[in-house]
Amino acid sequence: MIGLPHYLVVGSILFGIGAFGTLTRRNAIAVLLSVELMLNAANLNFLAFWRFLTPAAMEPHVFVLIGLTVAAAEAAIGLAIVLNVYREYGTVNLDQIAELRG
Amino acid sequence: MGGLHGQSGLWLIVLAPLAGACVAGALAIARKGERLAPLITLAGAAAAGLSALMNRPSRSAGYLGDTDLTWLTIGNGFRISLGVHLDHLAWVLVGVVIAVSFLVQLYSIGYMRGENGFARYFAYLSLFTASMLGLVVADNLVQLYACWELVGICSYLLIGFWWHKPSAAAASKKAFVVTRFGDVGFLLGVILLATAAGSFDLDRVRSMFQSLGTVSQQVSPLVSNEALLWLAPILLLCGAVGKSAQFPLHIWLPDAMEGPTPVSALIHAATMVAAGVYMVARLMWMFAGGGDAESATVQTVASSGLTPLAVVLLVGSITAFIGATIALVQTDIKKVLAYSTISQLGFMMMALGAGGEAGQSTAIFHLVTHAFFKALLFLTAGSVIHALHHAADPNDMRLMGGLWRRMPITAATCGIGVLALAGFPPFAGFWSKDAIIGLLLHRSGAQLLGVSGQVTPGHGPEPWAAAIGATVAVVVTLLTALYAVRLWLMVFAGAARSHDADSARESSVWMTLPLVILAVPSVLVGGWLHHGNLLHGYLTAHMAHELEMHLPVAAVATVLGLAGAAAAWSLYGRRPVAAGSGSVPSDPITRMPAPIYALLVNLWYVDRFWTWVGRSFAMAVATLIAWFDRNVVDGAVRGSGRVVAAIGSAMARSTNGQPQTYAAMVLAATVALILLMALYETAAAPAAGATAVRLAEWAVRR
Repeated sequence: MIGLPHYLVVGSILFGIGAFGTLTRRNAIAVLLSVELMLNAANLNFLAFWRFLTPAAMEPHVFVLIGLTVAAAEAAIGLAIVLNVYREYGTVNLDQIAELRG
Repeated sequence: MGGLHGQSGLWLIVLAPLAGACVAGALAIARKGERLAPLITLAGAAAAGLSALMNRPSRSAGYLGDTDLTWLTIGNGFRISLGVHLDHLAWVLVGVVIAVSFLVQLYSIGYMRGENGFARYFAYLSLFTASMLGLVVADNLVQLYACWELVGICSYLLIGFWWHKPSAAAASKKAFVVTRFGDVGFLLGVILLATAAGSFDLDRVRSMFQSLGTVSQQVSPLVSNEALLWLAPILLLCGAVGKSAQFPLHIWLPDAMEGPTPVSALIHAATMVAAGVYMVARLMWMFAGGGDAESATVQTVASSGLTPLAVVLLVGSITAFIGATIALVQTDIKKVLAYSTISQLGFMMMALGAGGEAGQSTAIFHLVTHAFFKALLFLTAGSVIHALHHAADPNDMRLMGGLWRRMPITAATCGIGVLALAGFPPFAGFWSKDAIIGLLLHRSGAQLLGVSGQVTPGHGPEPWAAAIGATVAVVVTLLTALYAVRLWLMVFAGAARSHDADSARESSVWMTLPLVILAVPSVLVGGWLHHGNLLHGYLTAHMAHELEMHLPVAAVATVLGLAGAAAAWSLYGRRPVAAGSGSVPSDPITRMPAPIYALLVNLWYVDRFWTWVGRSFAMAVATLIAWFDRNVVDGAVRGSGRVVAAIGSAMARSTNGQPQTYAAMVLAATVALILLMALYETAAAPAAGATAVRLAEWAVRR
């Protein structure tokens, strides 16, 4: 029988992969993809809690939909930024874009 | 308590001059209508004078008082009040202060005409008058101390009135710093008394002090009753020694002559320097020991060797002698008067040292007569200096001479002042000086010159101290006549010894009028107060027989005075001082034995001593403090700066411009926060933690 812990473990693994990718990948596009993974991990947790703890409530659906919308908007703006960075610097390697070095 | 409370006009005595000072100060700041300033301050002094005249405490009544105003409340109702306590003693002083202040302000209109800071000068004078009156009518120790420091500030401001002159700036600083030495003692005394009495109120302090002899338990949290009886008056005396220019802190007064001469007359001759004398007189009950002279505690202090009264007497004697001897060899006209003031203040202290109502009354008698004739002498000196102000050194008496033909009013009034100072009958100084000599002889238990002395143990100073005082008083009488007559002869007699003296002219009526007005009390006030028994009768409950005048004493003092005057005549009058071949004519007084002359002209090496103290002791302390400041205080400041800089550079290194590093930090911080919260939940709120665990268990079961 698949229960709440199974879902939570899957969500944690997904989040961990996303976080690892966000922190280690040099390519800005790959970083954006990793961020999407983390957002989806959060959505999965929401639905898992709804299904097993509060099946009558409607709020988790609202949160998941908002989360999907934010992820879409973030992807659009993020890609636009990456495009502009590429035009400006000629690269999307984050190590080479370090204008804010203290 | 014979006080009549709620005399509203009383406050005018202090507030009218204060208001005058504020308005004149505003004029000075606005630089508009400066010529009106003296009118305003004179009106303030006049209003104060009227209020004092209308509020005279009658001979039989107690004091007039108004103590309704609370200044500060500390803790549980520990109250510091501002009050007016106008008893007989205070009323006499209020009269002297207002009279001299009024005349000096009148005189200053002429003397300071056209000076830069005309209104500022009158604002300072009026502020001084208000502070001095506040001191005189103070009914508690805090008000006394605050006004004491206020007159010191005014003195500082006025000595340094010509601040652009380096010598004036240095003199004002010296006066302020030297009096501070004494004021430290004064402050300690105030604290000691207030902690013992639980109040600053003078009435409460007095009843505490007078019970010291009879109560068995220790009153003060700091010292034993015996020590308090001796220490409190000695500490307060320190303040008086500084303010009244007594040995060894007298060194600031001659330098204070850098100020405008009317200021010297008002502050450094008549009023402020008398503040110390007044304070001792006001607190005579303290110097005379506790109330009950027969009690064992008081007797212990009395037999311990040196009673506070004897200390006062000896300090006064040394001061009177040193001041008079140094005045002999000074050539600066104002310096002669300054050392003369020191000497006369010593006389007042000697009278106070005789103790009791008689000492109090005699000291105030001399204070009053001295205020008038010394203010007169300073103002005549100012008149002379004003006439010679084009000269290279307008104060040097060796360059004067023959001025009586050109300045007859100044010469005549100065002559009156000199005769009063030298103590010739019937001038003012004669009566008060003889009262002091007679009183001291009486206290010494001597049986001579018509005095039948009586000594009561526990009352008054030790007889040997009184005997020293009487001897010094007699010697100083001779010296006083010598330097006073020398001053007059050098300035006014003979022929002019410089071009400026030859072309001098009499001062304007603004300046000569106050001279003439002051000359009247300088002649009459002594005999008037003595004959009607006005002052002693007003100040003392019953006329003590120590205050009777003894003709033989007066005769001896007069003969000695005549001898001094004759010596001065033989040196300066018989053969007038020659114009001399050099730039500065020689002074016959320098023909005295060389070692003595060296001692006197070096001011008994007291200034040198303090300079040495300053160099060695103060420099050692200062070096230590400078080391502490440089290494510990500055070290702490610089150290904290360095720590911040180190943290900053470490942080800067982490700011490498990589967003992923920042994201890693955010993640790490978030994880750390969540862990901390979990830890807190389980440690501080186990119930909440348990709820979470139960929730998880329930979820798993499902």
